[in-house]
Amino acid sequence: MVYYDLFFFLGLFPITAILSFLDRSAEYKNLILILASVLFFSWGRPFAVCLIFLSCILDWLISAVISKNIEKRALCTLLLLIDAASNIGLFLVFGHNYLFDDIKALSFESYIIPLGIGYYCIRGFSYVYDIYMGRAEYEKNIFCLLTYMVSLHFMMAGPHISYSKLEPQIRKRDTDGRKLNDGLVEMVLGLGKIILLAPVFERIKLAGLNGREITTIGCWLGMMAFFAQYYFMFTGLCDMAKGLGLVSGFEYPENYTDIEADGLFTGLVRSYNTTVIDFFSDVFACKRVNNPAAKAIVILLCGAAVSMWYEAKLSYLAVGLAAALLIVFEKLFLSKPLSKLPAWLKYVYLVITAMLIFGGLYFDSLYGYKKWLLALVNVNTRYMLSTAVKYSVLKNITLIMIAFFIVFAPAKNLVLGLWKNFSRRSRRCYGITKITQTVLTAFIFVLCIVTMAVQTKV
Amino acid sequence: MDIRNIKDFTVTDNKTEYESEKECELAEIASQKLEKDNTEAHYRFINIMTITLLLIFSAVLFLTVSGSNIVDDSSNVLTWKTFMSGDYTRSLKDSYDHDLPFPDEMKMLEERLSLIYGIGNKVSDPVKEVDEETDEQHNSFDEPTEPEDPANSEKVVTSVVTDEMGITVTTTAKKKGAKETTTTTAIDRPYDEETTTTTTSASATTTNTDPPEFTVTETYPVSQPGPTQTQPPETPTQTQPPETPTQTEEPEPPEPVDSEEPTE
Repeated sequence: MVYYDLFFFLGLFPITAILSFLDRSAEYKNLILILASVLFFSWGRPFAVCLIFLSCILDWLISAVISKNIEKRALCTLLLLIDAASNIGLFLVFGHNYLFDDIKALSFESYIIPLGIGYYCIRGFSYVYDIYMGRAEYEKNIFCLLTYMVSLHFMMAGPHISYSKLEPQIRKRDTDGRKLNDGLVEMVLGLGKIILLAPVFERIKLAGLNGREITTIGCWLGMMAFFAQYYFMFTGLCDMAKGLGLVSGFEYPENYTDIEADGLFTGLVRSYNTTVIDFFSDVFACKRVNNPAAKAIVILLCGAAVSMWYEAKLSYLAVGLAAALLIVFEKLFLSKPLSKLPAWLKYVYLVITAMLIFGGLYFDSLYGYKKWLLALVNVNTRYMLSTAVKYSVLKNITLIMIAFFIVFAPAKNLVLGLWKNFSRRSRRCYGITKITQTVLTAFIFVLCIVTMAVQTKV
Repeated sequence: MDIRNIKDFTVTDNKTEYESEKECELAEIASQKLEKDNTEAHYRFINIMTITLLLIFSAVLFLTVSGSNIVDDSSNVLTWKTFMSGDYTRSLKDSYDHDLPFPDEMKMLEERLSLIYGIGNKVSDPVKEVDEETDEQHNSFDEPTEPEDPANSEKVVTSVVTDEMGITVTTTAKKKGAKETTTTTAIDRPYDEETTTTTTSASATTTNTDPPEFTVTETYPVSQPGPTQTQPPETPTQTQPPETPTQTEEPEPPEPVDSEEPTE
């Protein structure tokens, strides 16, 4: 099951939300959350996949031993490595099961493989790592840890938050009108990104990157659409996760940030899956190392680890290393000259570097990547634009414009600024903006439900 | 004495003394904040009620109203075994997805709503601007590892001939200029054992699938038979071209009445 299933959105979610409002105590809310999460996790899959959650007990036991022997660093390091190995093993078997196609005992049908196992394993390891580093205290109540580990709003797209930061909310939290309102709005907007915007870019991507009809503009637009599709898919899931969390009473940061020109390529990388990138840079001590050569090595290792976390493919590894290399260059000597460039030129730099580096994610071989690169500069292509690309853009131009205002931070800030200024003029203006927001949210809700119903039926 | 000139005075009650100017300022700020909070809460309430009601209405509608005339719950029984295997939850979701209410109306509404998405969207014309053969899994830029499907090749001429017996012969051959010349033939025989067909014209169509350089479509009238009684085919019926016996020799195409050489 996923967040954008009709069955979840109109079934499991409202029922869970209503049940969790029946009692104010955090213990009751945690229980409902754990049960709903186990149901969400095992829906349509053998219930046995929930045995994965037993790894939580291993994390808990290891953390207990570490906390009691914190001064024996060798033992603690050994235990940490055991925990890391168990989580990596779990992640590889369930997260990257395609690696075990030849091993019958470890190869599973795709429908059995649970979702969000990558985030689950990171949470398990990070808890033990925090205990090892002395940043968190050992949790005596395993149900609190279980709430942290299996909560369904962390499952699909993060964010990854350390246990020490979330622990106070697990023990005591309230759901007030503000949280409920913000949560519902976040959920609807996130659903809109997934259901309405992401498919538009998928269509443009398929039309633009069609090997039988290679055109120059198609290659540019197709790759940008490829990025946009995954951006809206991911940010939509993050918004929905945040909304689900708010409805359950949790408050935590976003797992993505706006793409700002001043952040350069490093900022662009950090803007997507921010909390996971931060976790990996923390584990690889990217911020703690000062020596330039050592820093470059740890950043490269971090880039490789993050890319392999996404997908255990050679192309992903190459992209991860290339991105890490550019980050190293920026940190060492590119950031100063680039920061003097005007904002629009920085955006051009971002678009070109993102296209060249992350474009590699689309192709399985160097052959395809090279063919696409040449097509970008109109080599080996006969036409500039195909009718398929043209129509897929024109037929969705309104949604593309909306998407542009969401992604392009200066445009978004301008619109939001004007909107806020208008709402501050008077009480009536404030009312108009709020009612407009409500109407728009309701409209997006209806659009999403109708679209989902049609897609499900098809 | 003008009351406006009074700047500092003390109001005393039984318990405390207040400096009135400060008190007024603070009271004013507190009152403004309270008003702002109340206004925010008011609109927040409207928002929550709107979305919650929509959500509950949709949830109840989708749960209670079935869009399917056939309801079969007999196979979905909650037992320990079906629950543990995931069959129960899976079939529950399948039946929910299958029974969505008002499928035709939903489709119609979605088509009308999609008119605002951009320019050129039409009602009752689902957007199909993408080549159907292009899919997410197939990355068409990558080097082909298997021999290319001749039907999809750019250098292939496909001819479809339907003879008097109702047997369709599809011939694909490499175009002039291709390095190798191979010919494959697939014969598609009709299903029915005995069929009466009335054919006014049969045609052979040769389509060059090499867009956008040139596209040539040649139509050859073969014969104009009257109503015929077709005999059941002697060979076993096979509908899938790859499974039919493949003839390596080139079938004799009907004599073209009018032909055009593809020109660039």
